[in-house]
Formats: sequence, structure tokens, C-alpha cells
Amino acid sequence: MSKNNDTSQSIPIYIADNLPSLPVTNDDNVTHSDIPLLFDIQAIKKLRYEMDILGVLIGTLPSASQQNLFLSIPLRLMVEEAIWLVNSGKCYFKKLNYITNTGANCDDELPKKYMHSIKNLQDIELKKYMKRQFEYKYKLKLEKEAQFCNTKVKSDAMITRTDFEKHYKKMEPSLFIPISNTSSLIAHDEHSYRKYQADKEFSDRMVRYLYKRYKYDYVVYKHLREYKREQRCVEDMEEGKDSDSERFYISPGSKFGGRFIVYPGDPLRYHSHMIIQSPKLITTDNNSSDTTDGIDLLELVCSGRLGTGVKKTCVYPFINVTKVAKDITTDQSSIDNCSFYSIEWSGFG
Amino acid sequence: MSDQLTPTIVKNGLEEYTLDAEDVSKRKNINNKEICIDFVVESVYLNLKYFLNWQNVKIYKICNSNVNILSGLNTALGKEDAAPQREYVFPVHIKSKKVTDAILYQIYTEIAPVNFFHLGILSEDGTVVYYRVHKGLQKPQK
Repeated sequence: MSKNNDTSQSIPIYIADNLPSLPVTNDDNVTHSDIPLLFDIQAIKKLRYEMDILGVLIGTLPSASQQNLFLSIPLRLMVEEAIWLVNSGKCYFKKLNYITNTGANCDDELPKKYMHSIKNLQDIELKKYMKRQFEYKYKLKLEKEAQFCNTKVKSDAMITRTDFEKHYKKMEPSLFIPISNTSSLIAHDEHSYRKYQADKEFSDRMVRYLYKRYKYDYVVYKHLREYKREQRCVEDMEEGKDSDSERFYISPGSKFGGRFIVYPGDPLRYHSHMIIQSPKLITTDNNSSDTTDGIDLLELVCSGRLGTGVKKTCVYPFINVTKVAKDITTDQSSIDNCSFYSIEWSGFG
Repeated sequence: MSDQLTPTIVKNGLEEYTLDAEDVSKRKNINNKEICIDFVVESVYLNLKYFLNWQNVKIYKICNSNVNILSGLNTALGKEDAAPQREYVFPVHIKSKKVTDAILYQIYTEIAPVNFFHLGILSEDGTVVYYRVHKGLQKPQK
């Protein structure tokens, strides 16, 4: 399937196999396989700088899971993005296994139980670390007090249990919570030659499965990705404000009520220009003319007003269903199966 | 509309009609469907002409179809310095489902080389709102 068969050269995207024992919600439409993850910082860098793929950092700490300001790896990709990367041979899907701290692979057993055991181990380690830190800081504090009162503290003085109970609560907020910079889950994952073939089979199966579920959104994504520079907004280039990038940067669009949002360059430097709506499907039979649901105009007015407020155009894609390949292996890049219309408020009326 | 108005020009697949206040008052005895279509075109026409003060507003019908489009010289505020441009409006009712890829494509073919037109959306209380439709991906104007 992937044009680059050498998986050692491409980047692994970790994705859970469709595990029935691990439902995300009661909704059958959402599964664990809809969450492609990247754990390697170098791979994330490569994707951002070379392929204009952004993703969203979602990693937080089991010990401080409520904080969401400083998120870390893993990086979550959009499913369409992941399909595009795998299909173009830049990446491959790798099975995300649940691994204990001892490195044992427990994919087929009860993963939840092992996830809990990882958390318990991490909690114990964290407690030990915090205690050591407390002891160190408490000693410093005692030394300072002694210096102030001109007395001496024995260097080998032990901190008693009562001291600990009395002072730990007070000092806890000043203690530092360590953040590991590698994932213990992935660190134990072996990269042996033996797994190579299994990876490839899994990757091919997964990309076919995801394409079936997401093919229309994928077609829109692919057209946006491969939209030629000449076709792009002329004013961008005239103003000299256009980015160096050949392509658009695409992000999930739910925060503006669309399927995707499109940036003319890196989102750290540019505001987005367009909100892409969910595609409208056109079916063409040989017997009858085109049949399609038109744009809901109330919805159009609604998104048009929102677009005016946030200075973006609202884009409606139309997809010709009959020209969309049923399987990703036969998917050919063709311009004529998708068309875009950009809509914005005229400024009067 | 077509049985009450006579086409004056047939050019590039567009039939042009003229409409004035007398014609509007005459149109009361047409069957329901005709009134429904006419009502939208007429309301948007009047809105363009008398509310937005567009000049030289004309009604066109795309040949061999039921699609009506309006065009006029946009004399919107802030554009006094520049000469007003001829712009096109596709009148449509807010409950209509006919804004499809096929119709949009048809209109673009007729109005080429102009690459945009306005959707004149008439709602149930008589308000008309205008939305600019561009072919392809277009960044916002302002």
C-alpha cells in the first residue's frame, strides 16, 4: 500500500487496534482507532518543518492531570492527516500496545488492569521522590534556622516521623513535580527486524479501515493539501505576505464550527483564513442527472456571520461520490471529484 | 415571469428582462409555483434597486433553465471614488435547497470572466441578506 515499503525509513504513527474491550464511549462511531499518536520529538519536528503537519499535543501528567497549559507528547494527529501520511509513504501505522513498566507486552490481556499498575508504580515512585526532596529541603531549613540562632545542627541528624507529618503538608506546595521527557510506554517498545513484517500488515489493514470510515473528509483534506500554489489566493502573493510554505497548514476546525481550519503559513505566524465545512455529497447516476442536497441557507447565514466576526471565509466543499474510490489502493489524485466555494458576507444588506 | 415579460436581449446564454413597478402590480393571477419563484426574484430586485440604490438593475434568465439572476451597478458606500462595478446576484429563498454545486457551476459559466456573485437570500419577514460566493478557495476581503 504505502509507496515507501521500507518502514525503517518512515515515521511510526502509534494507533490502537480496534479493541472491543476498551470502548471510548457508548457511541459506536468513536473508537480507539480514531486517535493516531506520535511519541517521538524528532518525528514531530520533521512533520512540522518538512510536511507542514501540526497535530495537537495532548500529553499531561498522571500526577497533575488537571493542568492543561503545558502539554507534552504524545502528539495527536487528525485521522485524515494520518491516512494521508501513511498513504503517501511518509509514515506507517504501528500498533499501540499496552506495556507494563517491566516491559512485558500485555496486549491480549486486560489492558486496563496494566494501565492501573503503571499508574500505581508511578505514584509510588513519585512519593519516594517527593520524600527525598522534602528531606533535603527540610535539612536546609534547619541549617538556616541554626545559623540564625547561632547553634549547630548535626550533619547526620535524622528526620523523625513526627517532623515529617508536621512539616510535609506545609512544604508540599514548594516541592517540584518531575516530568519525564520520554514515554515509558514507548521506551520499552522493541524495534526488531522480526516485527517489521507484522507492522507493515497492520499498517495496511489500518489505513484501509480508516479510509472506509473517513473517505469523504479525507478527499477534502487531500485536495486542501495538494491545492496548487498558483490556484491560491493571489493577493497573498502580491502583498508579499505569503509564507514560504508551498502548502496550507490544516487544523481541526471545531473551534470555529467547521471540519477544518486552514492557515496560509505556520499558525504561530499567521491567522487562519478559511473555515472548511463538512463536505456536501453529489451522486451522479448514468440514468439521472446530479442529485444533491443543496447548502442549507440558514446554516450558510449562520457561518457567514461567524466568519465576518472572526475574519475568515467559510468554504463549502462538494464531493462527487461516484468519483471517490471505494478502496484506498485505487485512490487516484484527481481534481474533478471535489469543488470548493468560498462564502463571506457581502458587506451590505 | 416569462409569460408577462418579454426578453429584450439574448446574449451569451442569458436572456435579459426589464421590470418596473407596473409589472409588479400586474403579477397576481399566476399559479402558486410561479408566484413563489417570482416573489423571490421580485423582492430581491426591489431591495437592490430601492434599498441599496444599485443602478441599472436588470433581470436575466439563464437559457433553457429556470434560474434567474440579477445584475446591477454596485454603488455601495465607500466606493464613490471608483466607478461602480457590474455585479451579479442570485436571488434565493432562505428555505430553498436549490443552491447546489450544479447551479453554482452553471452561474459561474454564464457570468465568466467575473469570478464571484452574491447570493441574495430572502427570509420570511422580507429581509434580504447578501453573501458573496467565490469559486475555489478565497481569503477574506478585509
